[in-house]
Amino acid sequence: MRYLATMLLAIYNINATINANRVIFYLKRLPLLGKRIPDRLYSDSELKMIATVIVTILNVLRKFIGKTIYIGLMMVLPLMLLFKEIQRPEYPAAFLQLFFFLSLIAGTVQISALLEANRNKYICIKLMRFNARDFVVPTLFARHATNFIYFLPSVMLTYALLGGKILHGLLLLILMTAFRLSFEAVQLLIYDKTRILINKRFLIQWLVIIPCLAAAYLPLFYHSVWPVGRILFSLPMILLLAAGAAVGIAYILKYHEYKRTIEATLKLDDIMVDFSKMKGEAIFSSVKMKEEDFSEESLRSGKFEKKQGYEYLNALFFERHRKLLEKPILNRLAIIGTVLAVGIIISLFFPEAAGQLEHNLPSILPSFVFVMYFISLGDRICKAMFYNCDISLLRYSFYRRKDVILRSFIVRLRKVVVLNLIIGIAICVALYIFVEVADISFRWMDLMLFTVSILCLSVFFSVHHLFLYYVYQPYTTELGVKNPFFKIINSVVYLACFACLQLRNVPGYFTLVVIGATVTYIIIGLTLVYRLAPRNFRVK
Amino acid sequence: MGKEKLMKLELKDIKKSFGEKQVLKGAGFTFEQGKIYGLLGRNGAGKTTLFNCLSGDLETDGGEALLLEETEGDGINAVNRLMPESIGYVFTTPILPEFLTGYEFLKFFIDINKGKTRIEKTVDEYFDLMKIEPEDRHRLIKGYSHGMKNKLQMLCFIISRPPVILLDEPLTSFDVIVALEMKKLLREIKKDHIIIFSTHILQLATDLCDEIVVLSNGVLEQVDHEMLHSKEFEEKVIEMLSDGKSMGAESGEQK
Ligand SMILES: Nc1ncnc2c1ncn2[C@@H]1O[C@H](COP(=O)(O)OP(=O)(O)OP(=O)(O)O)[C@@H](O)[C@H]1O
Ligand SMILES: [Mg+2]
Repeated sequence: MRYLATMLLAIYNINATINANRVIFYLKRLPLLGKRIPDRLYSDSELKMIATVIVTILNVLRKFIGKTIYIGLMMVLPLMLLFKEIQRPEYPAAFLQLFFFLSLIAGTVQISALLEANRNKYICIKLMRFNARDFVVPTLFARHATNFIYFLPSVMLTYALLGGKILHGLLLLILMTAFRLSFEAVQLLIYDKTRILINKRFLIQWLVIIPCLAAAYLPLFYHSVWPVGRILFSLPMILLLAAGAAVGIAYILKYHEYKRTIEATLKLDDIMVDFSKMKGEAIFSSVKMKEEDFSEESLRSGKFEKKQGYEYLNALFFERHRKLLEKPILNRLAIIGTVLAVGIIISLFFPEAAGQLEHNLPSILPSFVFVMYFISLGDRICKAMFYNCDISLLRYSFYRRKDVILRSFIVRLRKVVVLNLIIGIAICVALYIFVEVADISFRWMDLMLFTVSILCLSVFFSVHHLFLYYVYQPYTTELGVKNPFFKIINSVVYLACFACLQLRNVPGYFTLVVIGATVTYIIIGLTLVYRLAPRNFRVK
Repeated sequence: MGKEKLMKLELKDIKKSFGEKQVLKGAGFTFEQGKIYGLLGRNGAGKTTLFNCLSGDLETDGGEALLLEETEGDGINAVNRLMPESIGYVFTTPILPEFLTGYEFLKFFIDINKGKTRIEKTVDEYFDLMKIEPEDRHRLIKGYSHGMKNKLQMLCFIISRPPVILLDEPLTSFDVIVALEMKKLLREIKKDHIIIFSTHILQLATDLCDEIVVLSNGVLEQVDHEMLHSKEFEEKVIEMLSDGKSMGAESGEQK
């Protein structure tokens, strides 16, 4: 126990110092106030102590509030607002169902305190040479213990207010923690045997999360609530989870290959070598290029030998990043195909469901605005452009010239628009096929307008990403201080798309509004790029 | 031949601070074409910062950099602000687009300079010049060693031949043979350029450079030319570096 406490204290101290430094760093960047904060602060240990305490308190508060908001948004609000048919006496059971699937199952697969790579771990183990086991085992217990505490007030209170037994709320959290601990051991076991990191495999994650979401919310749509509590709070289940946790903890404590294992997980993000780039880690590894990916012949082929200058550069850029561009496109086409197939099957078995679309094509457009938001490409391409190309070439003055910036903008825009149009066209084609097979009658005019607005949206999102990239240049080499304008514009666009999803009665002119809005945005975006990009497009 | 033209790079009162830390405190100096200047300074003296200010990578807080053109007899006949295009800059840590192969990068670089200068060689001839082996030319720059990347950067200014060449500690990463070649090459091209060369190796400075400039306490000072090959030279430089007092050194601004 002493050992645990000392280790945790040491780790906390390092962590707190880094955090305090970071806070000072951000404070100094504030307009007006920032200039008055002296550099001295970094070395003033008393002031720093105060900053550390404040940061710690704020962090703890943030965690409590975060959990409360999560419970409120994901569980209480849907219960109160969406599923009005669920009656008060069923509230506790419904809450248990939601919490069970969302937090106990889906939440658990996303956490691996032992194996996830993060900044602190990197600093302590790789740079400060902590013993790996001494670091990860205490942090594992601290992580799950604090998580338990952070959840405690919101879960117990909510459960009690909804009419459940307050002690059952406590039991629920204990069981969740037990399950999480045993799952940590399972992940460690899997990683040890197969080198597969479950919390890095998005496919596995989604294969769990989507069924969990469905299992949590779908029954409520049909006014039924599953007897989660009866099973979860039964003695055999409690014993089972307790045994699982005991075995898990024993395995974790007994495991002796931490050094090798943890080093392997930290290597996954080699880019963290550079302190200043640490923040970019997550972004970066998703766009990183590997030399092995390219055969010698392909590098030697001289495929674009005839192209000149910037054309040549851009052609090579897209060629080398083909994997990054093609894979998401194919994924998306596969998704569209699957949805189409499912839609056709549904329409065959439940013709009346498909019949709702009869003469009512515009009513589905709002949902498609939201779909387009998620399905369009751009964000990742821009990051690849930045980290693999622009970040280095912008050091050269020739690359910063106005005409060069604008020309490569156009080339890139064209490319991204084409990619997004492929998706847009696929969606339209899928819709035609569906409408044909399901034998839905519609007005030709509606179909035309629908097509035009989907294509407009494709272009819109392409422009959107590149415009933000060129004008606000949100990615940085340093601590990743993002441009506030970037965040605001991005949020506004997201909210607009999300609001579309909420539209119940779609007005007839909605299609025209979409077309008008996207075209306007495209024009404004392009004008701003021409005006501002030559000045703003820099490595910051 | 007509009258000889001579370029000069005049720095006036260049200032730059990071937060409260004043790195350049009004550095001024006049560099002349045809000479290689060795820039000496302790770690953190601001050599890289000075280069970055000149190249436009950093905004200066004050002062200006002018590129003067003199014709013999006529005096100064053109005064221009120093533009980033007139500078070839070799960074300490080479920064190159890593998704290209060395060959592709050079071809690209030659392409974009075609209209501006006469390109004398083919891509492969430039590689030969730098002693980059044929099998390395078609590998991604990502896998290049530090020295190889530096060679590519060197090639950039050899190709584009800008009036001003800034070299931030480049030769340290070269192997013996290439370092010798590079010294030879710099001596060959120096008559057409203003070359400023930062280094920590005193011997390299005395050996290659025509003038030594010391950056200390945020200002530039020249080491007396006479001193350059004298016995006391080393002591002198160390003295200047350690306290920044200008004992016996003539100040660049008064030249
Ligand atoms: N972006 C920056 N932000 C804050 N301070 C900086 C920044 N860049 C440089 N400095 C500071 O300016 C000073 C000069 O740095 P510079 O890199 O120019 O030194 P240098 O002479 O090139 O040193 P070296 O010989 O080690 O290469 C240093 O104290 C450094 O900490
Ligand atoms: Mg330097």
